[in-house]
Amino acid sequence: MATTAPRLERQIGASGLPYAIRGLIWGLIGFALGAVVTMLVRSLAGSPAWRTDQMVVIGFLFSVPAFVLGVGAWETWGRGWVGLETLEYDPPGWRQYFGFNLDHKVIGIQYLVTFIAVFILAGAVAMLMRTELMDPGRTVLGPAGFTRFMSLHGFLMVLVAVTAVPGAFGNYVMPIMVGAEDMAFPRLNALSFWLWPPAVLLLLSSPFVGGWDSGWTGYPPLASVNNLGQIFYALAFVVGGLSSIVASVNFLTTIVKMRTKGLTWNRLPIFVWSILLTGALSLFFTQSVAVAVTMVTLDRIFGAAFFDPLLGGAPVLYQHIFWFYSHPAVYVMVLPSLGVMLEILPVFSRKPLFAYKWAVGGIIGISVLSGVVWAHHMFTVSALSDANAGFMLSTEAISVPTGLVFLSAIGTIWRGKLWMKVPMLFALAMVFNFLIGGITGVFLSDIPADFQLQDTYWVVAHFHYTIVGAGIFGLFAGIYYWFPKITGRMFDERLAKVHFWMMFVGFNVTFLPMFWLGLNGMNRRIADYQPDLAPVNLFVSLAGFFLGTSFLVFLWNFVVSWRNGPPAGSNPWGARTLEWVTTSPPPKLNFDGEPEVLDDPYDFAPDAPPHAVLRTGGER
Amino acid sequence: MDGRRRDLVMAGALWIVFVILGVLLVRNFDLLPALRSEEGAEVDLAFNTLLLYTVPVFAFVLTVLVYAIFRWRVADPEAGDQTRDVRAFSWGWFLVSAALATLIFFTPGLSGFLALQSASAQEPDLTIKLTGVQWHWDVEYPDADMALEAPREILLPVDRRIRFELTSRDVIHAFWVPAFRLKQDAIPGETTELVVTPTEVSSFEDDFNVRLQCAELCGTGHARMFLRIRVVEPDEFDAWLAGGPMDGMDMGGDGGMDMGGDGAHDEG
Repeated sequence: MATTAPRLERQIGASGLPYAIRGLIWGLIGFALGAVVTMLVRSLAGSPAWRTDQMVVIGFLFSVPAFVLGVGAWETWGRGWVGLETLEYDPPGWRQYFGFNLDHKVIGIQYLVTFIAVFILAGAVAMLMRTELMDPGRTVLGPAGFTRFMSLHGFLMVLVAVTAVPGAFGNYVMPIMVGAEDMAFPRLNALSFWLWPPAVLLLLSSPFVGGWDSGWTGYPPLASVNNLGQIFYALAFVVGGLSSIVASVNFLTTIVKMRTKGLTWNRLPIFVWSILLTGALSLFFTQSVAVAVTMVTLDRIFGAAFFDPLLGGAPVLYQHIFWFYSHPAVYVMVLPSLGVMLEILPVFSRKPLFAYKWAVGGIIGISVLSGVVWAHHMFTVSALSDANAGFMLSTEAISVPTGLVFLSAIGTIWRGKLWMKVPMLFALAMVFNFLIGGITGVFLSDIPADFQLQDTYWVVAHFHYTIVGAGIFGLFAGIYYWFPKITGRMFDERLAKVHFWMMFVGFNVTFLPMFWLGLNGMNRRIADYQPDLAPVNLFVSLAGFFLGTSFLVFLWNFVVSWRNGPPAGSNPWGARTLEWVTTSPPPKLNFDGEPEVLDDPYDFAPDAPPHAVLRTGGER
Repeated sequence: MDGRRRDLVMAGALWIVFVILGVLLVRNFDLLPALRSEEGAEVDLAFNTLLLYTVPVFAFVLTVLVYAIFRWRVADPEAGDQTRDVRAFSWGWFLVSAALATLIFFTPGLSGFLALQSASAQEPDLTIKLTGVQWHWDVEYPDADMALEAPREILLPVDRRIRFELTSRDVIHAFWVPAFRLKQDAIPGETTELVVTPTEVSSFEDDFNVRLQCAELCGTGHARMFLRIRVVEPDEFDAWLAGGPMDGMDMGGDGGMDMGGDGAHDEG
């Protein structure tokens, strides 16, 4: 409100229609424009003007840039392209979150709140699925509804898992941890966030065109012949993938080029390492999945035949291209959370991160090996071909660098002083969950055992143990750890503990029995099952509802504490990394002074020099 | 130093207790359902071997978690031990985990894989062609010139090596008989193979895992795309092949698909 006069001239967004709404309007206009152009070209070529799938694809490709320009990229960025002065989007209050804001802290909060909302929605879809599976036969959704909601749940949750932790904390916390004023490319950063609303809105609207029934993996030929929703899936994947690539360029550049004075690689907090390697994985591999789903879309709308066996295409080829990204993607989902875990364990053990270099080596090793294991998702495509043995070897090799993460975790808590605050509870739970997730993955990497386990509930249980048990638990660990930093307020400890225990117990009693179900003849992605499996399924459904309830406790605490929590102070946990050296929340350029790193981030000896200090240059 | 040693001894004892409990657990609870094929024995061997290997690993991490939480929890923050690394332990951890990964690759991984390869290379007694179609299986017995469209149940002879030749008419499906353990995709435009030797006379009515379940998501009807299997004595099987469907066998053309009105696949 009290901005100075010259600033006001360059400022936009403080009044009138929120820019996010304007973006939606521009996006819809863009969509209509693309659809009309398609119809024009089609009628000029002598075809019937109306063809829904082509109009949707071209319309969406027009609508995304229109949306992004409409939310403020035009004023803050586009005007510069035509020689006009660019303006600044930095209105006060709630409006700062509803436009093309370049501040990495605003973008971090945009990511966090958006993907918590998507998580809750996709979780609600899971509740519907478990209602259908409470007993055999038709319950609420029926087979068609179940298959579509299952696909929607899977894909939305994949987006949450890929995006939430790097999006929220990679953006909010990482630049502060390296002592930077902002990310290297603030406009790319805002772009990476604002690509998400079109993708998410498209997916949420997909049930109105019948959704799609091929899961989050979208294998052709099924994906070539099913509902229009399949195209929504492909477009969302491409646009979301673009966001990932844009974000990872930014992460890599920021970490490599913008570390403050004294922050050598040896002193880099482990969370920053995890974001660095996550960025590298996204940058190198994401294009591959965009290629795969684009080829399917071309098959559908322009009659290409990449994957149509009747026209000489190869359906299995899709799976190779798809998993070439999508296996590394599971590490994109898990590595940042493991980074959060290893960041929290030393702070609440008051002990240095054990075997720091081994842990960094583990994260690098996982990342490198993740590129050569993709075909283990496809062992049953050609079950006894020799190449499978090679992929079994590379897959089992990845347990070694993964083991180094465990080495670091358990070495850190050994002889520490465990201060059992809520972030620590989540971090310790992650060690336990990820242990089960990792060990059950070994069975899947073993070709003979995989012949029984592939495509069963064993797989469902395994990947929920890794991606929820580590990835999503890491998201909540990070939320509770950095909540005081981001909001300046402390959450309700008692409610947070209730949330933790409900989530930890609910998660384990939901997913543990699924291993047994998979072994005993329950294949995955099914709306119905053999009646003999009914009792265990009923139990799993009830446990799942309990797990679902835990997030209502979280939501209540999150909202109420953000508004009314007691002030947290700059460093409530007594941590050493740079984000705790500045105020909560940090000022616009993060530090009131020049940060300088003097020492290791994890030295908790009483006489240790601080990790970093702020050189204020005398003024105040 | 003394306290350090006491912690190691006590945690070591806890680890041994966990390992013993774990071994008792995996030895006394059979997680797998009844096995009814010769080749599936390799699968069960691999599974059970891995289960045993995982016990000490799981127990080790669990020991540290449990011990640390109960031994060193504090109500207010205070500085812990400041050890940054124990060279011998970290190297030991790395080498042991690399050795374990190598071990499980060779056995049960590669050993089981090669055993299954050589089993499938042997001359089969019988060939059956299976074609996946949304959402049923079409079955052909080429030796007897018999073709069944969307049968509800098929017969297999016990103790005969059967080669299934799999393909699909539309999307990707997969062959899985949980009681036989093996799994193989059925891909349009390709023919894939799976060799299995049933070892017991059995039927879907007695064990729901004696069914040919589609295991690759193939659309709306995926869940109920299964075919009941009846494993019979070779004589009975030969008589059946010679004479066609016997009395009392339901060969109704409806396949596994009895899913009410919503089975239709609506195109967008």
